Amino acid sequence: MQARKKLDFWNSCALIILLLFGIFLVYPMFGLLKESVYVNGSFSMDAFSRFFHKSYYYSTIFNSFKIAFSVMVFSLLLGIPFSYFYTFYDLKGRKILFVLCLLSTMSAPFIGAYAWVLLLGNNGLLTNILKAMGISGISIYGFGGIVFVQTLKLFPLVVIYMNGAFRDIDSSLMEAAESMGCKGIQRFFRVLMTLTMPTILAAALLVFMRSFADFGTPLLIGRGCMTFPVLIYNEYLGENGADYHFAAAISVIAVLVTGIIFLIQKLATSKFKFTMSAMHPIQIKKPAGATSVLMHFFCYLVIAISMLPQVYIIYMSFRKYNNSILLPGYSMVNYEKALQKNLFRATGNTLVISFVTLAIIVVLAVFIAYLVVRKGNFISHLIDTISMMPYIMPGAVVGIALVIAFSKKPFCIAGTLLIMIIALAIRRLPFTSRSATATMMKISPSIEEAAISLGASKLAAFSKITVPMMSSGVISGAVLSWVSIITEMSSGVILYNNKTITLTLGTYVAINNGVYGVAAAFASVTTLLTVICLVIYLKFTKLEDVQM
Amino acid sequence: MSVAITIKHAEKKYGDNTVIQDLSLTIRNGELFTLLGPSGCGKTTLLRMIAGFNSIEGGDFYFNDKRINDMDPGKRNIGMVFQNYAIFPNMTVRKNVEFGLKTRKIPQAEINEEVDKVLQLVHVDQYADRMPDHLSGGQQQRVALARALVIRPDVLLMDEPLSNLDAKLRVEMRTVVKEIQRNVGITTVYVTHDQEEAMAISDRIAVMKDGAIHQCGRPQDIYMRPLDLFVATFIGKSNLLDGTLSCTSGKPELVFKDGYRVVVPKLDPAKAKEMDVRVSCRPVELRIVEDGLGDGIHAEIEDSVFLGLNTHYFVKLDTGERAEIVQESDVESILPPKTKILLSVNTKKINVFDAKSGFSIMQGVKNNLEG
Amino acid sequence: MKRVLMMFLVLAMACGCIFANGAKETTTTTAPAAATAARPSWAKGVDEVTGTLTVYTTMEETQQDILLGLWNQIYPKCKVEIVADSVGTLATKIRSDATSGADVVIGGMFAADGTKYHDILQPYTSTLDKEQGFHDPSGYYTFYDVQVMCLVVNPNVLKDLGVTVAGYADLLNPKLKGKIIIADPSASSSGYRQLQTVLATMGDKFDDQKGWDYIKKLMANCYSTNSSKDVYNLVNEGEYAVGLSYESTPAGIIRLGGATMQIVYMKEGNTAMPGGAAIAKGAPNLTAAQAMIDLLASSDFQNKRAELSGRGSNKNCKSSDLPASDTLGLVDLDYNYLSANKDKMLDHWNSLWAEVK
Repeated sequence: MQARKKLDFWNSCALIILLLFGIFLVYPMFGLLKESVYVNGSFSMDAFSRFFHKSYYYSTIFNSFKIAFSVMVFSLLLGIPFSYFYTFYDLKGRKILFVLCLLSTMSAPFIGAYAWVLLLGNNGLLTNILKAMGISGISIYGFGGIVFVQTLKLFPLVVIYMNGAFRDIDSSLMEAAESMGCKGIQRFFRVLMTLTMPTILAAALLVFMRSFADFGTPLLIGRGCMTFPVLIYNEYLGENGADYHFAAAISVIAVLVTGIIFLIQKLATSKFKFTMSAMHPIQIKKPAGATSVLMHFFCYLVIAISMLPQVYIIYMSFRKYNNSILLPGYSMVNYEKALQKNLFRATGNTLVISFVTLAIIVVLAVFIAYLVVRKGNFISHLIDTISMMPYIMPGAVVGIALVIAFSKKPFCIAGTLLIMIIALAIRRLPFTSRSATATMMKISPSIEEAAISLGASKLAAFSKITVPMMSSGVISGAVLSWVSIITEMSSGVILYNNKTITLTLGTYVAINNGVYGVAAAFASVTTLLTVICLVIYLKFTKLEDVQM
Repeated sequence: MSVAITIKHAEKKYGDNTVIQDLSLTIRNGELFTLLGPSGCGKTTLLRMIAGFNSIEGGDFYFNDKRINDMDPGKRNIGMVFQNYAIFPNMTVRKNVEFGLKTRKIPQAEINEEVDKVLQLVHVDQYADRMPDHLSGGQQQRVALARALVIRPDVLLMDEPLSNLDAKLRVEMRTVVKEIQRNVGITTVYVTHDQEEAMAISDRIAVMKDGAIHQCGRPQDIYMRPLDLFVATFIGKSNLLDGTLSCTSGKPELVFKDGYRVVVPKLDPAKAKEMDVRVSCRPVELRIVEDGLGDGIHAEIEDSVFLGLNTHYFVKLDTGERAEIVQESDVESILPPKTKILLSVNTKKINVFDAKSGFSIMQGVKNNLEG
Repeated sequence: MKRVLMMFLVLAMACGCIFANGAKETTTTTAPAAATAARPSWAKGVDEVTGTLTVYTTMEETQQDILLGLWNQIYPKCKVEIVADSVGTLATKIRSDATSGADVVIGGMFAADGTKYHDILQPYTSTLDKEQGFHDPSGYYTFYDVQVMCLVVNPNVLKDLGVTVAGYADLLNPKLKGKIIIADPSASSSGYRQLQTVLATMGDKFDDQKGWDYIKKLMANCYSTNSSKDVYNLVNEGEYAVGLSYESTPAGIIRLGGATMQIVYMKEGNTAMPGGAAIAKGAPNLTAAQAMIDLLASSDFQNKRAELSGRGSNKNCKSSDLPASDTLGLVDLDYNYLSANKDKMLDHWNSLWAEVK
């Protein structure tokens, strides 16, 4: 008679996921909200009014905005041509170019910033060279420096996104344009750019968010240009303030601000709704003449500059340091000290945390993708929306919310690996679930129905048929997620302690304590780890399939 | 073991929207029964209700005597073949076909035997260890068929299985399907929108529109004596001409718009009275009579298409109506446009319909929902 | 392929676990006590102090080394776990992390704090309290350090700029624009101390408009940092010409040799503030915590520390080769005023900074 709503496998799955979200995401957020409006037991909006009263505070939002916007623009300006040259032209050494491009995005942001200080600071290596050549006045500090460092780190994300988009363009579209008299630059702008607009917008938003929430770079080289995440950090962990109530209020404002940006981007993207896939992808051409030289020069120059910090840091890790004083000569003293300072433990923690988090994220993402695409009922959409919330929450906010929620009984898990795993899982889930959902949508439902009609249970159909079909898409996104997990810092810095320290945090602590040599050692080990994983990953995937 | 399917007063609702109402039908054991109709008529919906993938809002569904409304698809012992084949892309042909047997936990030796047999049956045994993306569409569809059959289902359900194949392959494959079905003797419910395909393979056809069955019967019954205008125009090609029934001179006479009168022998006397009618004439049921020799509907040739065996003429009646005539090609010549002709009517075969209700007023109309 | 990936995953996890749990990492320098020095009289027995002592400290490397060197000599059976960060971070971590297991907080505890940190501390009066030159009236802090402030300069950069610096007033020289680094008082205790010192010496009265006028002009020449260590490190590296710092650590680095920076004491004057340590509330290893506090208060430790740098608070301390306090032009600070008006002063600073920048 009627279709009965049974508590079948998927419904119980959905409920469990909802429960997990409730405990680890919604509850901390409410805790944060409560902390921001309750002072000494009474309701008050004083923290908010205080924020908007002092230009010192609200100007940080503008600063962060200005920076993020500039970084977004410049990343697009760098990334789109790079991707265009890489996708459509047979550049010499293009595989290496791409691998290096990936590598340059795979380090913790502030490590790059620190290296740039060594290179382009007031007494930096390059600064002195430039001064000798008569060029002076270049400083890595302040607004310009932050934009420079972040752009170099984030443009590879644009490249990865755009690679996928360009490859989806059927060559017949380009030929049709050409037959109507539109070629070259004109065609690039009128046809290519408009066809890839959804991807451009997605990449732009990603870069904007990452820059906005970046905490390490402005901390190191801001020098007075105070940004939003740094403000949150100061208010929460600062030496002379430690006003949690205020920090919570600022965090709430941060979420609202990023939420608005997210909605704006959604609005912009909805105007460009269409799908494409190429039956005949555009063929790679051999570049010729002056354009070839220009292309090669551009790509190699950009990559060289963006890889410079990592290379320099590895070099510095072998220099003789006496705490913060750099002495001439080389030695392994930094590594020895690093080993004393928990290098082993940090490496172990990093591996455990990253793989466990990755496993959790992949499993959750696959389940969420299934619920959203196949079930599409109210609960699924609720889950989907809640899982996207962390996308708009700066890392520091996530950290603070979790600490506030879980430092008291009965949920006392602050200070453990678990809370760090939760924070990372929360922060990185949205990306993976988006890509899992996209992969899922390409699978026809009749495949599962076939399996069910043959007698398989829903779970068997899912695990034996659907999951293997999704696996390649999910795995290629998983590696980039893994790297972004390892290099995450903004929530870790709030949650860590000596027992749960990771490689990235170890680097941060070392820089903070002025032992720059040890910091370089930690950073080099991190780079080594990411290189190893990247190599292993590339053995199993074609370069072309690397996607977010 | 094959079963008979009985559907009593089936109802399908999406929210407040009722798409199938009070549909009853019996499908005989071992029959190849086709649900035929245009897009949106509900044929796939009904098939999926039988399969268990669509919920049933009203009515009862039986396999033999067992009521299956509340059974999971996996428990109904059905074999289903999908329009897009739904072959598991990550498994070889053999593993695909094994899948249902493995789920039933049948010992491997027996599985191998059964799979080999069915692979031979559908002629894909030489591809047993290939991956699906190395197979053509036709081969994939055969694998889908094998996979559905190897589990010895009680019922075989096929949802537009040939629509994705090219024309020639479609003709080839429908013969294969019919042969295999005859061979295995399994009750099959087949969904298609292609009426030629339906007529070629079916034991019985149910012609559906807007969620209801208009007529159900053997292909020749439906073709020869369609129950209403919809069935008449959906099955085969048909020219619809306007006319009236005149009962002045004893026997009812069919009067065409330009005055040409004929007696139609197979009119149902109970239904024949003074009324406006529409006449369905298949292209071969209108004959071109050279002007001057006898009586007929006045018309003029507009265009012609020579197709070898037959020549198609597109004519315009003096009444303004248009028709298509098919006749065996003349050795001498093709009639050129603007030729004035007379059309005579094969009164034994044409069908006359009440213009208002659309229902046939002929004798011998069969609507067999019980099988 | 999936299997290989799975195996790799398992392998990585196994490696991780080995690394993570294998070495019980401490940051101590192991020095089994071949006790050449006689055991101090105030020390507890060797077998009394065991287990692990968790120290939350603002001390940087070199001072940590000294402390641990002495500790391990006296209490070889007790391992020390160090968590080093700025005091605000330490306090937050203790407050929010119930499993932090902090035993003592060393450094960052200044006389002007008032009751600020009492919620995470417990009172303790050291057995060596009578030797102390400074006492905490509330009974929570035990002082071991007397902090004075200074300017750190990079002589090479100054020479290039053609500037000499002898005190605060010289910092307003337009040639120094962008070449001065200060620690943000909201984020760093040394920054706050410098703010106090400037207000104490550059105005007619503490916290008056004249002092703030100077600060506003100074800000135009400065960049700020969250970290005290940045101030002297970056001046030393030549990133900046002048930094407003505290005395002890840069002096120690200079003493070790190889540093470029130099210390200049402000001709306008200086302020001294005792700083110390306290025992954390609910300290798991109370005995060891008390032993540590006593050690800090002792002249044994403070003399050793003075060998590197820093002024001790113990009356029995040898005098170090740092300039004697009476040559610095010390101005007294009103602790009560400070603890009551800290927020106001920081606010004032932040607003001015936003205006100027």
